[in-house]
Amino acid sequence: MAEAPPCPIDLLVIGAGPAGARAALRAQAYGLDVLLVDENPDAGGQVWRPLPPGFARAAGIQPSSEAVQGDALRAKLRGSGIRCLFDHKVWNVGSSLRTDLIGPEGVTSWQPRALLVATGTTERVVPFIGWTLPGVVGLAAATILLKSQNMLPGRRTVVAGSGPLLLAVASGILKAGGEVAAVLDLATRSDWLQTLPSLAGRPDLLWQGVQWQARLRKAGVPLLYRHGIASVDAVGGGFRVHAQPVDRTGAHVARTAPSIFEADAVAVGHGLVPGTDITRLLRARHRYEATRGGWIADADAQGRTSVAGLYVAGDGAGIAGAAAAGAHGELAAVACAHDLGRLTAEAHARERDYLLKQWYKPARFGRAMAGLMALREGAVASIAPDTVVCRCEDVTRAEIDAAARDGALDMNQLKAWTRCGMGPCQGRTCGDVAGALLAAHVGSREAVGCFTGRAPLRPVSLAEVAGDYTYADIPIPKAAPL
Amino acid sequence: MVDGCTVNAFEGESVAAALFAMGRRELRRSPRNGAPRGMFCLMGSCQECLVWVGRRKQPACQVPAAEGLQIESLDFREQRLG
Repeated sequence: MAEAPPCPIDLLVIGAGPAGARAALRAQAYGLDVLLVDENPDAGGQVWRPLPPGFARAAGIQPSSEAVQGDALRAKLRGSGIRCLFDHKVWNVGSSLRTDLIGPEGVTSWQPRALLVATGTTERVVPFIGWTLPGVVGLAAATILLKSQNMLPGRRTVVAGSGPLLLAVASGILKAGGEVAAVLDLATRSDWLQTLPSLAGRPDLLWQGVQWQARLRKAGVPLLYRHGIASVDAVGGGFRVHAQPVDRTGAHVARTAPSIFEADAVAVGHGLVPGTDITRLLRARHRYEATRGGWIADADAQGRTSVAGLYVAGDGAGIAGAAAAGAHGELAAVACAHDLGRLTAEAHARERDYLLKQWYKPARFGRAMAGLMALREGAVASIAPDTVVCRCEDVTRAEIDAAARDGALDMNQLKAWTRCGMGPCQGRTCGDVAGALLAAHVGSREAVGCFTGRAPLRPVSLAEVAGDYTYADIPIPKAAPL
Repeated sequence: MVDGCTVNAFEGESVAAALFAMGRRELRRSPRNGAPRGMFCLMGSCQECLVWVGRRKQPACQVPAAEGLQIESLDFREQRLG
């Protein structure tokens, strides 16, 4: 069977989290033919992740407010008749915005007039000795285990890193009946207090934070501010976690002896990094903004990028939090509808101004949280030389430093010389920290840039891409006359 | 079935979570150092928990457990096929 031409569609939305789903609903309301794609089995993204169907809602578990919001969104999507392809991964996007998917039935291709990337974030973990041990997971991973699998990361867990997920995870573990050995926070209490003005608009979240703290205190969990993990050793069946005091930049303070905690699991995360695989693949212009998560596609307030027809929305466009992501998705949908000729200039301006107002307050809060989660230079500087930085290819900090000393000037040279970022994760896990390490030699994040986006975005086999294509399908041009 | 052994799981939980719950934390060895690796990001990004699901290599955290599902770890398949 020869290759079928890609299916035409007005708008293809990648990612069915709060931003993508709300964008799809809004765009459909303007009469656009929309396709919504997500690699997860249902909509909701990471924040509104559902329990698996048939899972124990019946077992008397009180659904969280996030589950309720997620269920409402999923019901709305189902009622809308929007075409949704769940369990589908985008493995390639061409320069014409042609989008190649792989799903349970194999590969399909779509040709949208506009493409909205709402792929959210991945978690950043600043590496330490032992972070690759099975049983050490991300903070976001622990959230997913607790929220969508009703499962603890271990019997006794050390929770470490920075940002609001710390308390959310520690408190979630206690609530689910687990033990928290300690909470290690890179920030200080006063760092948190500085976010208070932006919290004023969200008393509900402030109250939630207070409740989390109270639960930890009641359980007698040691909460160590300005501490990080120096290393984790596997001892017997468990872990010995060395907690080290850090300074304001996150650098380990060596003259103080570490505190040691015994645990059988570690949940650690140092903030979120916007997912820019697709915008980098399409060579959109990007800029580095540490307080919004790092590299982000350069876009206007409605997510229009430097590439015609390519839009970004939600945390993947720069971290502003889930509460702001919905309005941001709708802003992008309004832009698409206008740019595709479905909305007059006046209507566009009216809708945009209304949505910007909706977006502002939650975004202010989300950005304050993003500030707490921003990469701390000292934490990167404190990575021990023999620590694996690129997990896929086992590339250590010492090898990255050596490449820099040998003259690697940007991320692509680093990749070519060391294989850092060349593995199946495409540099999503290590890229941000490797960039910071190289920038320390070269001068700035802008100078070293980021890994050039490459297909496949997700591992895919040649057999899957080729499908039923056979030898007989190879077009052989007629021989030229002699 | 995982590597030829029967694994009990709740229908719909991820294969990664089911294996973790039964105490199997190590899912593969890293290609260069041969160091043990297990699930890490749980959202399909880091690819640390890659396993064979039939002809496809997929992150175990993205594959819902189901009756009769056949899973092989990368190392197990490599050994089986020589």
